[in-house]
Amino acid sequence: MLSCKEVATTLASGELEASGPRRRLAVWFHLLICAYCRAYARQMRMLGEVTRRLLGREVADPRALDRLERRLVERCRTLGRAGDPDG
Amino acid sequence: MAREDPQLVAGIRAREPAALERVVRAYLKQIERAGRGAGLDAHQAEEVAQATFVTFIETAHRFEGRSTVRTWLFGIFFRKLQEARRGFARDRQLDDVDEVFESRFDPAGHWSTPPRAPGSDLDSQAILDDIRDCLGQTPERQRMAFVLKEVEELSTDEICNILEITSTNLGVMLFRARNRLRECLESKGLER
Repeated sequence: MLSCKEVATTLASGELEASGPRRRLAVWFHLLICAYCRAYARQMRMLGEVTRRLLGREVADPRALDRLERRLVERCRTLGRAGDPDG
Repeated sequence: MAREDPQLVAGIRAREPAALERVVRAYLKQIERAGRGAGLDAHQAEEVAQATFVTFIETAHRFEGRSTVRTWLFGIFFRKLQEARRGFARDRQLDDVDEVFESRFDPAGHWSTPPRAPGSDLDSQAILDDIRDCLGQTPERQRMAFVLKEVEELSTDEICNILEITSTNLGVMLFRARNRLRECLESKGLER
């Protein structure tokens, strides 16, 4: 039987993804009977979800990004091939 | 690790404008977002993205296709990010979040301070402000490991290559990042 501390460590470090079926089953069983560790697992999922929302929503000025893309594409055309830095 | 389309690799090595352009168009948004994920403001993120792609274009002939273009680009990006931040304290070997984690359990490994279940409204401005603030308190490499994993959804191998760390080390960084963020959010009251 895994302790809460072992379950929490496994969840936070991402170890679970690399674990074999026995370990996974043991964690699953622990979560089934332990509301505290379920809350912890929910917190872990929430961290990723909220961060994805934060970074997805707050897009930097999209026009600035378009302008940067044009400048870089221009640079590909002039710099690429034209000047070989080793040549 | 996945291999890149040989034709694209050849094009990049020859610094063919079309191939370089394809890479810019495919990855600029992702690299810019990773900069913001690392805590840069919009302006700084744009600068680091520009520096990343300029270096990519100028050193494209050295790309051998042993890693994917994305891994190559993120590697450049991460070096540019560190350059941009030179002078920041490196991650300490000992991290106080480890002690905080320990203190949440009794000697038998049971929770002594149980975690609180998060509320269901993950979209409120308040929680986004909180996570931004908490990310801001997370050391560079931990935070980058967390963002590359959770937002960019890169594989363990890829993240280890980019950050030049072992997979064990990555586990430690994710563990610390997540526990630090969780403690931080709990202190702000996450049941909202």
